[in-house]
Amino acid sequence: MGMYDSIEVSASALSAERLAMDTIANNIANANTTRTPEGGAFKRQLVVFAQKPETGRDGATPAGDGFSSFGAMGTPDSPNPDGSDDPSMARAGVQVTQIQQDQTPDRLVYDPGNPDADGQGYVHYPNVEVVKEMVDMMAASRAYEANVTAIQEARTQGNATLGLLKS
Amino acid sequence: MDYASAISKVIPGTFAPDMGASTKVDETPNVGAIPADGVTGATGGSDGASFKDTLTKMISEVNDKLVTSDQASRDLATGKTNDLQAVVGKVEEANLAANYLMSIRSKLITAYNTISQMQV
Amino acid sequence: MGDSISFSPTIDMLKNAMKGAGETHGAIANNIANVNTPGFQRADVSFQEALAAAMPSDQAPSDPDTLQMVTTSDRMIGSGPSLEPQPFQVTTTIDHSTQMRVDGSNVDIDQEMAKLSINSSYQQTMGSLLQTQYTRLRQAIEEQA
Repeated sequence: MGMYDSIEVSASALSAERLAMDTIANNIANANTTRTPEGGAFKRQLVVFAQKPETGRDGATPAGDGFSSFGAMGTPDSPNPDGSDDPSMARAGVQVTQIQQDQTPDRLVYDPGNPDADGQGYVHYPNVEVVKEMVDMMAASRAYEANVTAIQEARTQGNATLGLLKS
Repeated sequence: MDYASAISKVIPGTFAPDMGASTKVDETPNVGAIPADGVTGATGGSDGASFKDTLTKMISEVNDKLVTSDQASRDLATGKTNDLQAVVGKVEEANLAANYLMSIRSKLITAYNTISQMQV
Repeated sequence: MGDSISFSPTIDMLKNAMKGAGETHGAIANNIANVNTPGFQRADVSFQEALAAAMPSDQAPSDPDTLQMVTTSDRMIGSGPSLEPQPFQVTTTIDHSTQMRVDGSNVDIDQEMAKLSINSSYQQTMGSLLQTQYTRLRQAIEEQA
């Protein structure tokens, strides 16, 4: 697994963390949204990360000769080309497999005068806890920075190796 | 035993002046003794490998290293391998081998010129 | 007859690799510049297969006991592969396969930055290897290490 592979792995993490941050930002923005097109209050969304299986190098070219086409990074979701479960191939990084809706019950606030109140006088507010979302956002942001550092380290290592040739 | 015979026994083919163990100061020293053996063959040794064979083998090994390093560079360029460290290792090894061969060549040529310019 | 002499297929390939990497950099820079452009489709450049295809096919695995005679024109007597550099083509494709955002653009800034990083490192590597090749040639020509 060379330097280019490790940069691609870190890049997949960058994309995944960015998507997580977007989702968290959306949750925070809609923390008090009581009306949605689907009816009812806004439901908190969370991202599901999964390990991305490595797209076999020889899947991308007709010659099938082991060329890694880094110039055309392909679709991220193709499985192992030979259908095996070889764990050594499952090292292509992370991907977001789905964005789930959190099914915990809505936050109920008793407010009979509100136009959105239900029969018992309770208003359904989204199940978003802003404080928890802020903590999640900090975690995603730190993860993003850590992956940027990983890419920079990979570059530094590569440059150090090339420095051997310069003498 | 005296000094001269002791030295002659330890280092065959040498001579040692007879320093005269006794204190006969008016006797001239006896610088005798011709080396007993002829000059033994310096090259060619007992294992049969000649200089020409060694040199040919070395050139062929350096060529192999150069070919390997070229192949590794091409594999890195086309993306067949992603192992930068291994390729750089092979390239640097080939460079060193080629430099080494160039130095030996220079030395050989210098030696040849020196010998050919010797007055006989 | 091309306008350049081919010293070795390896040098040609490394030069072509740098050319391909330069094209790739252009495409990636364009993608990054258009990250917020509505309806923009990102472009990919692939050149590595063309690199391998441009190797002369009669490049025999080197036999250390024989030297091949190479020629630069038809009138020379020789027994080795032709000395002309093979043509090399870079292919640019527009990528329609990845998901688009709401504004119709499918540029993922993180992926593009990572590709930029990889491509830049690749270009430096090819440059260093090419420099090594030229240094070896120069040593042989100048007859000193």
